[in-house]
Amino acid sequence: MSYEVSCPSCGSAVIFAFDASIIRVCSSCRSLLVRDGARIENVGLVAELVSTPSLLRLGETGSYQGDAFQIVGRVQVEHPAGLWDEWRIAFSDGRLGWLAESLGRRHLLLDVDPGDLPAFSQCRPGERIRGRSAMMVIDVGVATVKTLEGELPQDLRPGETWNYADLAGPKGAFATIDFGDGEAARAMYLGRAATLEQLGLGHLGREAGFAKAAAQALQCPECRGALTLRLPDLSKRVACPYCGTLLAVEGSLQAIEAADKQNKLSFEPAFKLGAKARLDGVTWVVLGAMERSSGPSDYTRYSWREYLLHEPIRGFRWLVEDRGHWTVVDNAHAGDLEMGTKRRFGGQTFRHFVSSEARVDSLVGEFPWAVTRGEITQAADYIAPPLILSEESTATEFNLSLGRYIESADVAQAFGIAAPALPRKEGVHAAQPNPYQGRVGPLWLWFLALSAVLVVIFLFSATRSRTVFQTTVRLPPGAVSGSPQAVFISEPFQVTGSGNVRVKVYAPLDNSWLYLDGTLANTKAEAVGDFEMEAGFYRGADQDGAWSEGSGEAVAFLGGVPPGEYTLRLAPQWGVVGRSKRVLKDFQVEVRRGVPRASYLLIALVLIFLWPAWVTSRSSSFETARWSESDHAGS
Amino acid sequence: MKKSPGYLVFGVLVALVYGVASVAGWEWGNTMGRGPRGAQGLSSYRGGK
Repeated sequence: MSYEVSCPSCGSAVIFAFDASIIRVCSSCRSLLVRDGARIENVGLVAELVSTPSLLRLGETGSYQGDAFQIVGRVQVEHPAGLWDEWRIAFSDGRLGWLAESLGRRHLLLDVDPGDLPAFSQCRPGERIRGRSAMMVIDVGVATVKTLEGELPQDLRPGETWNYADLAGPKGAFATIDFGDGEAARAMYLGRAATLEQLGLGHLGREAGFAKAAAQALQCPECRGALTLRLPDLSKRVACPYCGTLLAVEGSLQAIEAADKQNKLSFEPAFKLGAKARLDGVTWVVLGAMERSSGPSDYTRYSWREYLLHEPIRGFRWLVEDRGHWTVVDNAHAGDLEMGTKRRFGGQTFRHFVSSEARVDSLVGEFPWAVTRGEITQAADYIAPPLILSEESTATEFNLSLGRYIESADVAQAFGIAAPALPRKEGVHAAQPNPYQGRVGPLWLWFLALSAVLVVIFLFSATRSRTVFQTTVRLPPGAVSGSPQAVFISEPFQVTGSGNVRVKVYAPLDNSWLYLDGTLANTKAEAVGDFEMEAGFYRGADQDGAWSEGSGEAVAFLGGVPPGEYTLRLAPQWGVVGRSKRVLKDFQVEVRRGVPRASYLLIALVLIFLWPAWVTSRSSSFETARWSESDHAGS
Repeated sequence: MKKSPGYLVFGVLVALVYGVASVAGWEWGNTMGRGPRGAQGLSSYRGGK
């Protein structure tokens, strides 16, 4: 039931629209009125509201999950990271909640019973809290009321401070614990991120056309250089692109001061401030750039560059350049992070890559938080190429971001510039997709399949093999090695079918040798083929014991033998070594058609092996190069 | 195999060449040729080379 009073200060009509309201700011004179039953006390004036890019306003009605609410009050809260708007909302069923806005993101939080919660000092960023075990602390600090608007169900005064811890839970859950000015939780607000559309306030975005924050021109107080502030309502720091001075921005440019005159740009940004890039179907504007580094000393530091992009609806994202490699990085909801040796996020498993202290070395452009040169965070990267999950934490904050590798050609195309204008790629990036990824396994499967085909061909050939001639050649008694008398000429025999021809001899050799000069000739003078064969078998004994080498067997293959009638001519030469008394009297000959060659099968197998072996080797080299930059190099 | 069509083509070619070579009896080195020798030529061999 509404309650109307006259402002004790200016006499204007002031309406307490909700029974639960305790304080109200007079919209005419900005006096803060406190209600105690029927008594109204004026506790003094509150400061004017700081201009912010919020699209919300008092009195607006929306709905959340089917329940209607109205915006009844607003608190402008100073946090370590800057000024936030926190809007008090009242649901039609009497429930109360907050709509917190920060850097263009909104969280709708409902008052819940705090229950058993840890003390403020036990809330450490990056750790999950007891009681609400699924929620992770992502931010702790002290909030200060800067000014107020509308009516509120609790007695808040400008300058009042309280300890808070922000928590992130699974599936987008978000919570804030209010510890008052002590250790024990006095209130808890639980909810999740929500868009204007999800809040039934989409018309506010459409009305504003997201064009509220027009760029503002200003002058660097140090060098008088002309600066452009593209997000005057959000930016907290501006680094002059001419003299490097880092400027602090309070509110809407009412106060600018040289925060750091030592900030000299240590790198040449790849893009100009204000440059536009078309990424993921959206046009982004480059607001700022910074160089960060990590490493044990100034001489061995490893640096990379981060470009802050902004788009009115999507908010902020980073484009990170590291040795010519690029990643697009977005904030990620830490509550969905599953800790462990490996991290799980968004259904993906990420392997630890590197942990380091990341330091801001120099910056240019504007930033929506109070960034400082030399700012250090504990960083840990986990990878699942092309994704990279980065955890950054300080004593008061835990931040999770998800990056995706993007080809430099795509970056160049997004900015409408030539690819050579970007830094040259060096080495392999942690999140760079392995170009051989997904190829190695299938290649080996195909190798096995093709090998099976080759073996089947080999076995099939073997089944078709047949002997077309065989005999024992007896050397004429007294015949001299190499003499015409020793020449053997077979009777004609038929060679049928297809395939090669193998001539195989076996001689009972013992420290002796047999050399054959052979000819396979078609009896109709259609084809003739010459070949040579040599067999030798030697044995003996030395200080290492008995030894032997060679054999009495020799083979020769002939190709392109057409079917027909053939004779075989063999001109033998033989001899002995040492004191061998063994006299060669005969040897066996076999002529066989269509004999599969194991050596040719091996050559074919080697040929089809080389491709998958090369791809496997390249893939492995790529991974070795990737991990050489990690904490796990060589392991 | 979507990512390695080249390998499949190459592998099939190798298998084809190997299959044809096996059936046709291709050999390195010793290959039959059309020579002046034959039944008549053999007589010249009887006296040896």
